[in-house]
This record gives sequence, structure tokens and C-alpha cells, in this order.
Amino acid sequence: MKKIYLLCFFCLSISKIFSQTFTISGYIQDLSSGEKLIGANVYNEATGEGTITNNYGFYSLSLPGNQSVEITFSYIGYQNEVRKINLSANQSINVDLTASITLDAVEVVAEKNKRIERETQMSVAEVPMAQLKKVPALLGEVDVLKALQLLPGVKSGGEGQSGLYVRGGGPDQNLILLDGVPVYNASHLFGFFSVFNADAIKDVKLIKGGYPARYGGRLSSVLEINMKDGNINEFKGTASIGLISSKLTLEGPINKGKTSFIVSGRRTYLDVLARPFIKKGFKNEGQDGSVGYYFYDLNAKINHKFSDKDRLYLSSYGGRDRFFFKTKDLEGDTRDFADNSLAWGNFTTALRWNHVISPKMFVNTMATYSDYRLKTDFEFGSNRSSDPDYVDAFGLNYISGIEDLGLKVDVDYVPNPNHFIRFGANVIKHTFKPGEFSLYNESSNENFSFKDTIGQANIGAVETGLYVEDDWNISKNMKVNAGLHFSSFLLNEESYFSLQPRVSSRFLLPKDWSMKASFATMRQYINLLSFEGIGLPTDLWVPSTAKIKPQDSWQAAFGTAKTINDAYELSVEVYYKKMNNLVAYKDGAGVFQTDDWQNRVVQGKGDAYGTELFLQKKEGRLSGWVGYTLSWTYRNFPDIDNGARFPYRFDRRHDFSIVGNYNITPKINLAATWVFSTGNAVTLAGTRYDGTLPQTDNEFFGYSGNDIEVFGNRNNFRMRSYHRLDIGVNFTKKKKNYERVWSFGAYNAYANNNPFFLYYGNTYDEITGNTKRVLKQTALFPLVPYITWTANF
Amino acid sequence: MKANQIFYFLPIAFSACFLISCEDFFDTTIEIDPPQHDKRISLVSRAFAGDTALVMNIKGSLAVLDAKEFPLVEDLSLAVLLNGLNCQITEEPTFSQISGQETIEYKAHFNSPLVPGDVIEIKASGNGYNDIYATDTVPNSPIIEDGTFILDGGRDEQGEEMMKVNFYYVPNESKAQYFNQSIIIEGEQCFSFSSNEKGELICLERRKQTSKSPCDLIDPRAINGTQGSLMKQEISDGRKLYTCQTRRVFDSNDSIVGATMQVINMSKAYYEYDHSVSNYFDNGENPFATPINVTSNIKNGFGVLELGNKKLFPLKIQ
Repeated sequence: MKKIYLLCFFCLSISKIFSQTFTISGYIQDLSSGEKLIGANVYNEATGEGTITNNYGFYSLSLPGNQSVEITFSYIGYQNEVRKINLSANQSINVDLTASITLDAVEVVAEKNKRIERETQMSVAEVPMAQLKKVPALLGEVDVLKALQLLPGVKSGGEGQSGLYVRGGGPDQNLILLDGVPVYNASHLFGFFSVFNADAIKDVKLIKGGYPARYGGRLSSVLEINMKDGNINEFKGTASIGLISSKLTLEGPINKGKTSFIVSGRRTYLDVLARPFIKKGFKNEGQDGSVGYYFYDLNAKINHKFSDKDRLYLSSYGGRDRFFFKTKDLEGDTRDFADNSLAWGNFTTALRWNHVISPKMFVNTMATYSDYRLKTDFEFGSNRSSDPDYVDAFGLNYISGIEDLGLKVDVDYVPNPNHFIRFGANVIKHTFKPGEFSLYNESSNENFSFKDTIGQANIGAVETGLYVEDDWNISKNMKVNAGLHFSSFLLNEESYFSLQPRVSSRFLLPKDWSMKASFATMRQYINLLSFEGIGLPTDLWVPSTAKIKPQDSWQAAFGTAKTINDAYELSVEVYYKKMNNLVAYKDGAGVFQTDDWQNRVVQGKGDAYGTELFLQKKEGRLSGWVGYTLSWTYRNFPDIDNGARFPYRFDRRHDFSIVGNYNITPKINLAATWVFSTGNAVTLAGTRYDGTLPQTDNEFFGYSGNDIEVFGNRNNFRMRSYHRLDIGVNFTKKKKNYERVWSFGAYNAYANNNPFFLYYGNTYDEITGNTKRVLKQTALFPLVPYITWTANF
Repeated sequence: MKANQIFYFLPIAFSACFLISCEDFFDTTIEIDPPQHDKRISLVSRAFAGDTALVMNIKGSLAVLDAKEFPLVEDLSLAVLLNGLNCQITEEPTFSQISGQETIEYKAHFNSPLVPGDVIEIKASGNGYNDIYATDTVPNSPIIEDGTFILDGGRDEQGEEMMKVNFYYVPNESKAQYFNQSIIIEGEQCFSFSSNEKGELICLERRKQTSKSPCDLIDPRAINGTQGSLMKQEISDGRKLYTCQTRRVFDSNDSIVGATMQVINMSKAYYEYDHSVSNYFDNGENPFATPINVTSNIKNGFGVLELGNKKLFPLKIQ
């Protein structure tokens, strides 16, 4: 009998899926620029059935045939478009939406399918780029990652750092995708700025939990950043000059309506401005020299529309940081020289082909390349003006990095409004470069020459993924996104396989409330060896091996969501995350060592739990959000503290942020941010003892330790709480041929002395005339004002 | 003043603040209170098989910011037991190696020299401190049956000249054996091999510092993923023959007149303390290194009681 019921259920399901329907499909885009709108709504006003556009602006909505329906197309910040459609056949309808320009454009009313309580995806943060760009920033350098740190569940590392610590995870556990390509080091200037140029970005989405099956490879979050496609209708540009960098973005059609491009570049110029002064300083010391730092990045994209069914995109990102120090004696016979540099950067590129197989099926095929490398060069020595053949030099070069080559196919299939099926596959060939030293030493004095290359060979690995997921309307109130993600990681000596179930669901309650729950397992095959909290370029990506097992996690979340007064989105979530096989350096281990990195690390466990509150207003004269996180995060390594559980460095009990953006007049915009968080946990010694051996020690392996500090348990001390107010004001004025924006602001406006670094140092006691040892707390940024000039033309 | 003008004034005001943001205006470094002092007795002591006394350095700990000399423990009550029997304890004035000030060295006297398997226990208490307890066992004597130092040890893959030591080592098969060994050429350490944390034999390279070669260079090439130089293990004449091979730091013309292998079998506590102290001082100046906790086998206290068994073996020079 059971089998008959099951058969009936199966047949009903099939008939439901394949009953007589017609499909409307197409792209939704911005009227003026032709930019595809991601996550725009398409819905039947009468029945509430609808869908949203995918990452490429494509939608597909199947409805029962032989009827006339009113379909509304909407997107936040845009005026709604309502089309009357007679459903007698499949139709391709491309829609251009007009951006809303009124101050009070609270057009969230129409966002029926996109309303937070109706979405199955939970633990997601989407902040409109226009809003992110107005958040006051350090030195006026708009930074997407730092703006995301203001969201609940996302923590920053140290002061000014752009790393993301999502729900107790580490910065290596974020899958950061720029146009679908993984970016491995997302920071410039030792972590103070992210590599993403806001002028080139169209859309940002952060997923903290309940991961859909289409994502894989990291434990803690997915950050999807999509670049703009380029204005397909007219040439446009943006130029800005700030305190530390200038930017230029150009976009426009190559073949109007068919092909467009965008190029955006940014470079810092402190090194250029300071060069004359530095040269003069060296000259006063009898030397020729230069010292400086700069970074640049360049985003470029071109896309071509072959037909309504086929589009091709080619996008690239290249960025590089370089610190250099170079000196040379100008006087004397023996002249010393030094030439040191530290350079690192990413290069990514993606070739994407969008193909509409049928009105119900969309395929994205993508080939990707990503390369991150760090290179250090140190050379010093001397030569003689009287003897051109004389040389006395020592050199050391270090190279490490990771290189990926990938292929990916994603298929969206929308058989009817109740199902949105996605499936696909991807393969990535990783090449890990765990660090190689080249050394040389040459001395004419001693007739000696030494040259060697030591380090570890490159490691190749192939990572594959397969997934299928369905966003399924089970009933009017119940919707589920269920899927499976299969992954494998193949190395020479070992192979790993993993099947990861994912499910998230929402249940609609009366009065526009909904309940949501999700469960997801994740696996990560690549690891970042890093000193906690400092986004150094020396951080090293290494694979899982036979000895180092892949990282695993599972996360469960439960929450509620509601749209209040059609303007405010409220969500409250609780979560628990368990992580296994986390990787950390052993005590005292680090980079710039030539032994096998596997001997320098230990593996352990972690867990994190907490609750997050998020109240957001995306549009209108006043927009912004309030976020609060109450959380606990722990780690547990058998080799640390005798296996005792200890707080993670970024275990912060409270994190609160409020972000406001107010349009005083159409020309004047005021923005402010205030953050408060519990201090980070650090390991500090409170006690010392005499470790001197009481006899003369003649052994060659003896030690002469005397004053030994006792650090106690890991992360046993709390830094002071952190709080900061940032304010900014933007003045916009229409000029004859362009629009000018002056931006003024201040980071840490009331100059709070926020803790960045603690250390034991000495201080002079004026009363006793002695120096005494004290614990010092150093802040990085007191009040830091900024000014930026921008022209939009 | 119109509202607009106020908004223009604000950034100017902030800029002015920035210009005067010299050290006096914004002091970015402040002093804060350190973690609490964990007041305990510290005991540091080491002895080898054959010793007839155990010398102990016993002091009180200090708060990390306290600049005083480490204090002697008030009303110290001290007992040292060898295989369960109390030893006689004497107190001898000595000078601190750090300050040169007078302090006290405690010495426990044994009736006979220490032998492998001897168990030492120490109990101590003092006014204002928790009672401490430590115990350790004298390890077995290391056994090297034969050894040869070979100056001309061939060439490595990159053509570098090598030197090597062949030796027949008798490991303790029943449990992990911790030890340090080193080759001493005419009184100077040349290179060494050691056990790892699992008690397995590995080969470290610590070169004699010369003007021609960097010193203390750890060679990354290793066998079976262990750190160290090329280490071979094979059966020869029915015995386990070990070969430690490393790059040569002597010219082939150098005349080597004496080579000695020093081997110290160590208790686990000795091994762990030795390595953690070494790491502690190696990383002391690195602000980015994870702090290293020095291990201790002193219950409720700090420091170590460590026992070893040391042997010297002359090597044949070839």
C-alpha cells in the first residue's frame, strides 16, 4: 500500500511540474546603463507567484497558460514596471528599469518576492552598493570589506584590518569570488584596504550560513562580488582624487547595444609625493636611496551580446603591493648598498559564456584563472670604486603563492514557479607554492661564493565539485531550499571525497513574520597559515595532504524575519557552528622557515555560537542599519594548552554597529557609523620566574635560561573594548559637463584610543629617575580626517 | 550661519585637528594593567646518572612588571627523596648569574651515584605559596656500539661536498627514547642529531660557525618528512647502522685529530623543557610569533626537575 501512495505522490509531482504552462523569460537591466540587475523581482501581482533574476540578470517564470496576467518587474531603488501579458505562448521579455531619483524612494512595497520573510536563504547580507559607498571610510578609501564588517556576525580583525571573521571562522574560511573567480589575498597595505575598487563593483552579497549547495570549498562564508558589465548605451566615467589614492573608471559601448567595456584603475601615490623629500634625506647622509610603498589595482571587463540567447564576458583583475627600500653610499672607496623589496598581488581572469538553452533553462560556462604570489628580495653588501671586480654581497629571495586554473558549468532550470533547480560542476587545478628561498653570498675578500636554492617543491592538486539544489515552494507558507554538494580533492599521495547536505527553509507566519531554519555541512581543502589578526602578505596557502586533513564544519541556524512598514527589514538568528581539523601554527613556528610546513602546524577543533540581530532600511531619505551580535567562539588544539578549550582571538562577546545615511537635501548627504565591540583576546604573561640552572652547564645542548615569563592559557587576557565614530558628508553639485562630489569626513571622530597592539615596554619615571617596565597599549588611528573629490561624467 | 556653511566648516575643523595631532595631542600609547601575578614556587634542577648530588635553584615567582630580584621562599620546607628515601639537604650561598647578588643554592646529597631507574621526588612549601611536587626518573644509558667520522662523505644532489658519521645505535625498542647527541670535533660542536617529540631519531644540522659558512643553518632536506639532514638507517652485520650526512664545513686538507660523539638520553620532562626553553628564547624577539609556554613538571609550581644519562664515545676518523 505504501508503494502505491508513493507512486501516486510521484505521479502528482511529475504532472504538477509538467502541466500546461507558458514561460516568460529574459533579462532585467538598468535603463540608462544596460547593467544587468541581480536579484530583481518578477511576480504576478494577483497570485504572488514569482521569481528573481540570477547573477546574470536572467529570469524565467512559468505560469498557467491561456490567461492574461499583470507581471510586475521591480528592483530596489528602481521604479516598478508593470506589463500586461497574454500567456498564449512562451515569450522573451527584456525589461529596462528606471532608477528612482526621489529622496523618499521607499519603493520596497513592491519587493514581494524579495522581502526578507519570504526568502528561504537565511544568514545573508545584501547591502546596496550605493549605500556601501557612502559609509565613511578610513582616509576616504571606500572599502567594501570594511563596510561588511559592520554587519552582525561579521567581525573585523585588528584596527583598520579588512579581514572578515564570520561566525567564529578565520579569514581563510571565506570564499571570496570576484566575478566567480576565487581571490586569495583580498587586502592591500598589510590589510588596511581591500583589493576591491568600489567604483567597479555592481553587487555584493555575503552568505554567513545556510549555504546553498552551489557553493563549496570554504567553511565560514561566501562573498560574491560582481563587477559592473560596463555601460552599453553611452560613455561614462568617474574620476576621484583622495588623500592616498586616485581612481579612474571609464565605461561605455564598443558596439552600442551589443558590446560594452569597463576599465577601472586605482593607485596610491604617497611614494611619489614623498620621493623628493626622501632623496634629500638620504643625500644629507651621503647616500642615494629611496623608500616607499604603493599599491595599484586594475579591473577590466568586456561583454558582448551575440543574441538574446548568448552573451560572452571577459573580466580581469590585477593588483599589486610593493614596499621597497634601496640605498647606496655615494662617498668613500668601499660603498655599502642595500636593495630590499616586498611585493605581492593577485591576478584573476574569467571568461564566461551565458547561454539560454530554453526559456526555462540558463547555462553559465566559465573558465577561470587566479594567481596570488609573494616575492621578497633582500640584497646587501658593498663594492669598491677603486676595484670594479670587487664584490661582497649577500642576497636572499623568497617566493610563495597559489595558482588556480578552473572550469565551471552552472545550470539554472525553472520548470514552474514552485521550483528553481540549479545544478552544475566545477574543477579547479591548484598549484601551491609553499615557499622557496634563493640564497647567495659572494665575497672577494675571502675568495668565497655560495649560491643555493632551498625550500619546498610546488604541490599540485585537483579539486572538483558537483551540486544540485532546488528552491521548492512546498506550500503557500512553506518553502525549502535543499541540495547536495559533492566535492573531491586529489593529490599525488592522497584523495579526499565529501558529500555535503544543505537545507534551508522558511515558514510564513501571520502578520508578515516568518520562521527560518538551515543546516549545512562544508569542507575546505586549502588552508592559510597565518599569524592571527594580521593580514600579512606572508600568509601562506597550503593544501590538505595525507598528513593534514581537510577542514570540516557543520552549522545550524534558526531565526525569524519580518518586513516592518514596508521599509524596515528585521531578522534575528541564532546559530551554532562546529569546525574540525582547523590548522594553526605550532607555538613559535612561522613563515620564512625552510623545513616542511607540515611539521610547523597542528590541527584542532573550533566551535562558535551566538545570536544576531539585524534591522536594515535599504532605501529612502534615511537609510542604514543596526546590527548586534552576541557570540562565543572557541578553539581546541591537542598541542596547545594541553588540549584545553580556549577562546579564539576574535571571541568578542558583544559587537554593535549602527550605520546611518541621511539625505539632507538632494545635494547634501550625511553619513555616520558607530561601532562598539568587546576587546580581542590575547596571550600575555602576568608572571615570571627564575629559570637559571644552578650549575655550570657544559653540554652543547644546554640552555642558560634565566628570566622566563609564564603566559598561562592561550588568549587569557582581554584588550579593552573598542568603540569608534566615523562621520562623513558628501556635497554633490551638477556642473556643466559633469557632476562633482566633495566628500569630507573623519575616521574615529572623537579620537578614542582603541587597542591595536599590547606590549611590554619601558617608561621613564620622572620622580625616581629610573626606567620601569610597563604594559603598553598602542592605538593606530586617532582622529583621521579625509577629503575626496569625485567627478562623474 | 546657514546649515550648508556649517557642513563646510566641519571638515575644516577636523582638518585643523589633524594638523595639530602631534604626539602631545593624540597620545596613541597608554599604559594599562597587566594580567594577575600567579604567585608560585619555581624550582629548576638537573642531574645525570653518576651524580652524587642534586643542586636546586628554588625561588618565588614575581609579577611580570616587578623589577625586583627573584625572592627566596620564606620558611621554605624542602624534602628530596631518592627511591623513596630522604636525602640530606644543605644550603650554600652563591651568586646570582644575573645580578651578581648573593642567593642560596639548595643541594640534596645522595648516598651513592645515580643509576638508571632511580626515582627522585621533591616536595617543597613556603609561606604564602602552594606546596609543590616534582618527580623524574634517571633514563637508561645510551648505547653506541661503534662509530666512524668520515670527512669525505661524498656529494649531495647539488654537488655539494658532504661529511658523515656512521654509527651503530642500540635504540630502546620498548618505549620512545628522548635524546640529544652531537659530534664534537676537537672541542667544537660540528653537527648533531636528536630525537623528535615522538622519540624518533632525526638528524639536525648545526654547523660550526666559520667565516665561510652561515652557522646554525637547518637543512630542509629530510627523510620521511622529518626535519634534518639525510638520515639513513640500514641493517649491517646484523646491527642497526645509522648514517647522518651533512654538508661539509671543513676543507679536505684540514687535519682532524679528534672526534667525539656525545649522547644524552633524557627523561621526557627534560626533553620537553629543553625544547620549549630553546623555542622560548629563539622567539623572544619576534612580535608575531605565538607566545611559547615553557613546559614544567613541577606540580603547582614552575620550572623543571630533569634527569639525564650522558655518554661520550670517541669516533674513528676516516
